[in-house]
Amino acid sequence: MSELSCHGLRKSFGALVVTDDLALSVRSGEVHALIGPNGAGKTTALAQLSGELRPDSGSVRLDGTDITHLSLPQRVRVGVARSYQISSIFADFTVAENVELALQAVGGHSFRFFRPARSNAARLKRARELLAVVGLTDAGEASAQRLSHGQTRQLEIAMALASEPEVLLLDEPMAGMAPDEAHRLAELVRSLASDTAVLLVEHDMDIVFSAADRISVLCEGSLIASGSPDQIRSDPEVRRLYLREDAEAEN
Amino acid sequence: MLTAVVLASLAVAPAWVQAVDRAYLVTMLTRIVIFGLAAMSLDLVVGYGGMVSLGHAAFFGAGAYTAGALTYHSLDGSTLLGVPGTQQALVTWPAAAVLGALLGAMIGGLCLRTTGVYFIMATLAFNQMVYFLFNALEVYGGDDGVGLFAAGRSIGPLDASDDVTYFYVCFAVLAAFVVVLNLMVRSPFGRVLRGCRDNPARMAALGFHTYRYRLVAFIISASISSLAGAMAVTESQFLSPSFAEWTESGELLVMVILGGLGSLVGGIVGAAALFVLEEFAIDITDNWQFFVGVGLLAVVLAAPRGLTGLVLGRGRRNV
Ligand SMILES: Nc1ncnc2c1ncn2[C@@H]1O[C@H](COP(=O)(O)OP(=O)(O)O)[C@@H](O)[C@H]1O
Ligand SMILES: [Mg+2]
Repeated sequence: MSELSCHGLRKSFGALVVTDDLALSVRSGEVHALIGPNGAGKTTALAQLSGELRPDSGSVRLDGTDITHLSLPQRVRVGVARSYQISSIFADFTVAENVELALQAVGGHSFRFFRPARSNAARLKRARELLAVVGLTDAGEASAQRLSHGQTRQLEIAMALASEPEVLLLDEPMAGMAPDEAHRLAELVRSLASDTAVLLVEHDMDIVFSAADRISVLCEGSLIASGSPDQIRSDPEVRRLYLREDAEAEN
Repeated sequence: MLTAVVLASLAVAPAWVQAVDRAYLVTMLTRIVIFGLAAMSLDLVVGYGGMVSLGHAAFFGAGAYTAGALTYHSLDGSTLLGVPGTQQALVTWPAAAVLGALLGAMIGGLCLRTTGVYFIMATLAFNQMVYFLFNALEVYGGDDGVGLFAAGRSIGPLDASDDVTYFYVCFAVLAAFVVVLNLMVRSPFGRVLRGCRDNPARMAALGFHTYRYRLVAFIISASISSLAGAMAVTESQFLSPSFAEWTESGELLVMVILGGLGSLVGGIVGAAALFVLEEFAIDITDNWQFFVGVGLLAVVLAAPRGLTGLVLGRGRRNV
């Protein structure tokens, strides 16, 4: 049982306040969705939780321990992993090698100079298992740049899973996927949440309302609502925000 | 495969130049081997690590000054910081490699806190500092340098004063490092290094402390470059700051890019191309470097993976 939380998180870029007194938590066993219009500060919030960005003030805690001062690689080691909104994989490597690299990151140091990297059978086996989990069973030997957009998103998740995280921060993992692919991935995310805390940033409301246990709505850096899908659905402020968006989209 | 062909060609090259009555070319072949070794070590940093160093002549020069100074004091009968000099390559070369590693740790440790253009400039700045330091060493002739012609070339019990013998000593060292470096780029360490080159931000997100891996690669490369510098001064028997001149750093980069980044063997091919071109084009014009420019442009525009890339074909990449 683990819990990642933040309190009083603030971040501004120059005069632009992007995170404004943010408090959030996500526990193992749940999918907590973070939604909000474009530019609301979702990615920036995730970056502060993962350690990529230092908040101007506020704290991040894992199971009560303050981890605000830990760097990105250090947070991976204590169990917080993330995936990226824009796929960030190693295009020149094979698919399996991408996952093996992710496994190397947490399987002790890699100052091993003379044995071929590919000769570690246990690591290769584990990489294949992770690929199977995300539905890339047969793609292992392909070059990563040959993957379709949706497959790249799946690989991205397999890499995040390599560290066996307690907390998984997913930044729009379904972005740009075909609907059936997206729904399959949503099921996967759901199943991961049985023993992992999942914070899911997502645009597709169908997926958010079916996959999330809890939803928080971010607007201009601050939370305007947080609660169960039913509560969010009926929240007047959220409705106003999204109705406005829909109206803008129609214009 | 290509690596084997290149090494085999080098191995028979002395016999060949003698057969065509050009025995004087043996020293050029030795220089190809020595600079090929330095260029190959630079490729580890640039081609595999994505760190464009314009300061590797600092290490090459440091190696030359380590071996050169020890040799100088041995000829002179004086001491260096209380240590007697020696001409024994089995001492001077490892000493150069160790000093190169220490200097690499210092320079790399600072420069790797920057990236991109700033990294290039930082390595260049350190190169200049080292160069002017050697210029200021009046003991070794300041900017004129000092001849060490009375020294022999002792490698263990072997007397390598003869140019062909010395070529094969250097060739053996090169061949050993070809094997070592090829193992290294395929190892878990090499994979991490390539990851740091391709996507450092993602490497950090996976949990890697990228700085440490880059620094270790930089130190290994500096150490090998320094060893090559020691081999070069043993070859020329003349010690001068020109070993550490920043244009030398540029020349090493040209060799790597011409031969093919990220291929290791490309460094040797690039060194060979440059020295052979110099040897023959200089008869046509003193401005033979013009042809280097043309060749480099052709590579950058038409064959980004260099001469070795042309041979290996499009799709394939060494590792
Ligand atoms: N590094 C940065 N420098 C300046 N502004 C930034 C930076 N990163 C994000 N922003 C701005 O912060 C706001 C929030 O961005 P982001 O967190 O990416 O939003 P979201 O993920 O919710 O779409 C946007 O207005 C964006 O332009
Ligand atoms: Mg975003």
